[in-house]
Amino acid sequence: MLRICQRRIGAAATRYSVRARCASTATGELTAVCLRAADVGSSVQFYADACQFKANPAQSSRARVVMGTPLQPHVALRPAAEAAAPLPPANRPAVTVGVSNLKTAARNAKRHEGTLRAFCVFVLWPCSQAARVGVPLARM
Amino acid sequence: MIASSSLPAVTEPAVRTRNVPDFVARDPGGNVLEFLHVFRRNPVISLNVWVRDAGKMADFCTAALGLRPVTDATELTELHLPRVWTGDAAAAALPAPRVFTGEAAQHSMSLVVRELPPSEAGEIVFPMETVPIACVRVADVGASQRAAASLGFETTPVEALGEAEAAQLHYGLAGTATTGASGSFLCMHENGYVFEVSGPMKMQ
Repeated sequence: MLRICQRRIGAAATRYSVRARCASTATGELTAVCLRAADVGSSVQFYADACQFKANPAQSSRARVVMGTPLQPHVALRPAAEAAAPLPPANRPAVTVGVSNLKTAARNAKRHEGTLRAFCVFVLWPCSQAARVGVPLARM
Repeated sequence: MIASSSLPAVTEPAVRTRNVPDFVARDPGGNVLEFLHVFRRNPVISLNVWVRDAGKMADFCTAALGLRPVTDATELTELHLPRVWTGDAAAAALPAPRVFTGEAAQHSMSLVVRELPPSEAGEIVFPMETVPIACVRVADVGASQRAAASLGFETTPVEALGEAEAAQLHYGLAGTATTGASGSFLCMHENGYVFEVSGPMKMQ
């Protein structure tokens, strides 16, 4: 069985709450997808416009923003200050988003084309160095 | 540096489903998002994992992450959005994606395992992430870690990380992700994906 619980988030507890699933059986639960954001503010606006996600206001000041809807999963936007790899190829989508109004989503996504940053280019971690989790983490 | 104008920010529809055009966009951070139409009020999201060995990844999803494979056609279509990328002729010939999700069908995110085309399988084609791309909660962290290790995945307990590294794991997920919680560990896939696995959240 899954239990639904609510966690209060700081001062915004009266306005915003997050439902989190608690795996109480052997079945696991994917609780969050973490995506990099060169500019957290721009990404927040993008996901709000194109995906109809809402930001968690309690976290926005920490520059690590959680987005989603009360019943839908969380997307964590983390600042990509670290060097990382080149932009992933456009034909390898990292995320698939299902929305009810594609036309609106497309129109809103197009509005953000200008916000794409040239600096969201990352340095590729060599395979050998990434073989151990601790190595890249230590270099952040 | 790549000029922003050279980026395929929003593509033309690759296929049409239910007469509604799909599209692909990059978010401002460069992540590629594929947009599909669903008859649902709330948006639904799936995480795509491109790997060389889909079978091994499937074993990892079930044995270590405790996710269940989704095979029901209706559930696949309406909830988990698997679609072979038909805009790429090479990818279109690939095996069908394998979809995994948690227990709850209605509102669970799903993880879609997609195999790289042979032409790309020999090289790294996407970033080696340094922090997790996904957070997963399991009932038994120890069993999960043992299963991951038995499959050859490198695991690192969060407790073993230094303070600075552990601080990087604070996503501010309001309890849905670990903040260095006891028992959680990181697991790196050979293609560079890092998963954070933690135990059940304590009820308050």
